[in-house]
Amino acid sequence: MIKFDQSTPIYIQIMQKIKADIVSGKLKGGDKLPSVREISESFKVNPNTVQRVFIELEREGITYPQRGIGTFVCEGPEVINQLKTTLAMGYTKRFMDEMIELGLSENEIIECIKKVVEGSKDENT
Amino acid sequence: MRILESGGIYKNYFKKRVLAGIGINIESGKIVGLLGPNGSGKTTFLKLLTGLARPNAGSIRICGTEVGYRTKELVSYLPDSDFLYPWMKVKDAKKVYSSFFNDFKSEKFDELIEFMKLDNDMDVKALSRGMKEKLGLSLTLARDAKLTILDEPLNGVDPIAREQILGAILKGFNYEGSILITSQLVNEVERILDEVYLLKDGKIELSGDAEEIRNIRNMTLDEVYREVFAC
Amino acid sequence: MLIKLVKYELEKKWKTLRYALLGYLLLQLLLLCLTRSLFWTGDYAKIFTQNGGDLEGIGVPFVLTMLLYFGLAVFIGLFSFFEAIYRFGRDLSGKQAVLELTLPIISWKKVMSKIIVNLCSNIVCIGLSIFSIAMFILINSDFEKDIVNGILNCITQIVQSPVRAILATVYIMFCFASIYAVVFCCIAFSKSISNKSKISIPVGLASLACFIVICAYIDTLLTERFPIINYSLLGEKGSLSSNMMSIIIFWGALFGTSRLMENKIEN
Repeated sequence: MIKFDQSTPIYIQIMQKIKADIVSGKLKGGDKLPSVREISESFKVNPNTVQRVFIELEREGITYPQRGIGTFVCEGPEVINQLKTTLAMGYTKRFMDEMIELGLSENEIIECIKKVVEGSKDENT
Repeated sequence: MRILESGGIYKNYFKKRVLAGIGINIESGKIVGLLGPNGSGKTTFLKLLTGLARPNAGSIRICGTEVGYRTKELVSYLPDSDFLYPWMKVKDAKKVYSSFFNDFKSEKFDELIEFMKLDNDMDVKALSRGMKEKLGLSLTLARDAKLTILDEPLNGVDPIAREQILGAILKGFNYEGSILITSQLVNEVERILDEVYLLKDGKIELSGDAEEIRNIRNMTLDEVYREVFAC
Repeated sequence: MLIKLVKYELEKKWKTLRYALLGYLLLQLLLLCLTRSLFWTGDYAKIFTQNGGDLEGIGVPFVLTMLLYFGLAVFIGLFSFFEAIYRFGRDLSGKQAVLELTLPIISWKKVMSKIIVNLCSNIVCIGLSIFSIAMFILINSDFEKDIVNGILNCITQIVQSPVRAILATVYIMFCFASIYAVVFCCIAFSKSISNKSKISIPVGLASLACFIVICAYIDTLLTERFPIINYSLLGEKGSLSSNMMSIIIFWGALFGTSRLMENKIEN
């Protein structure tokens, strides 16, 4: 059972997960999202909460409904790129906030990033 | 029409006052939690809903009808204790439910039984506590009742089985009806709740939308519970 | 619904009684074999034919086994009655009462189905009892002609006047059903006061005693003072008012139990 972070509403966390899946390519443009019931069963959350997720995703233009069939991920690279940017900026901002709280300067932060990137390159080769 | 409408409920057992003027309302399509420690009156209230006990004052209406033999068709109740005869097998229990309850769906029962990894030929007396709970749950949820009442469905059950039970509850949820759950395992059950009522000493101490309460207080319901019931 | 209920109650009754019945049959068979093969001598046949015949020389083992056998036969006849009463008490306040009380059927049908099934189990058990005793006598008297003739006579008498037999059966069934209805009503009444055995059993017994006394009094009153019609049917006397009262008692008790179950029983 996925544990939910207690500082954010559950529906927002589910939305984050779905958005991340779209950006990473697990969910492609035009794919059908699982039904409200399926998501509620697999995440073990209240169906009305899931319903809210769907409403918000539609509102943000990330998905669109087809009556009688289901909810689909919007096609078109602009939507996905926009999402990618928003998510990436969000993660980066969080990262920056935490690093600044540690007391690192901008250069030190960039050094850290370079080291990690080099390190993962070595791992991959 | 509301699934459940109740107000001004008082209940005494001899001299002891168990419920002191409570009321719970439930709309359709909701999963509602009634939370509180042992002895707070949760099970008593459930018995009032099922007609197994009668209030000293107040009214309870299920889909507009006062509680009585007619509402027994509308309410599906899973009690906290053993309620099946030890000589029964799973298929015997299924037969009893399907012959007396019009809203019992055999295919749904079979699906749930398969999901819980139970078998039609098992003897009830040979089942472990967790498996008995799962069987009771399958029987109760296979009825597409308007009001499904689950009394402590997660008690005495290991963590993996608890997850399965939560999954089964969501799987079996009839969106045209509602579910009322009592539980002490607040942290496990809160994620499936729409609304929550906290019962303390026979009174409703706190009630409302689960997500709203979490947001306003910036705590999980488990933490809210601890705060409310800390002595 | 009533038929479904009866089937369900029959199944419950069977599952509860099957081991008792099986045990009884095996035990009696064992005792019968013992008496016939080990303790028997040719003289024993005479015990059953002669009144107060020569009882000398009867082995103690035989007598003991015979007493045990007859005791068990009587026991199984009574057992079904007491089991029925105990079962009803459990149905109202045991663990399985939840299932019983939440079935969405009007209570008088539930009570009626129990009465019907209890009558069936009584018939079976009492029949078994009589059969066992008859078998014992027949086998141990080596199918002595007199005894066999005696039994055949009884049977022919019953078959020859079927109307009488049927009326007698119906009357007995009705009496048993009434007894059950009244006892169930008293049990329901006692459970509505308290679920604890300590309180409910004395209350139940007291209410039953009161009821019997009151009924007996009213019955004698009616027969003597207001019999409406006195009749004689097939050699039996009866009064219409007395019969009417019996019917009222039965249905009254049935509905009384039903009302108590709907409104007053708490689990």
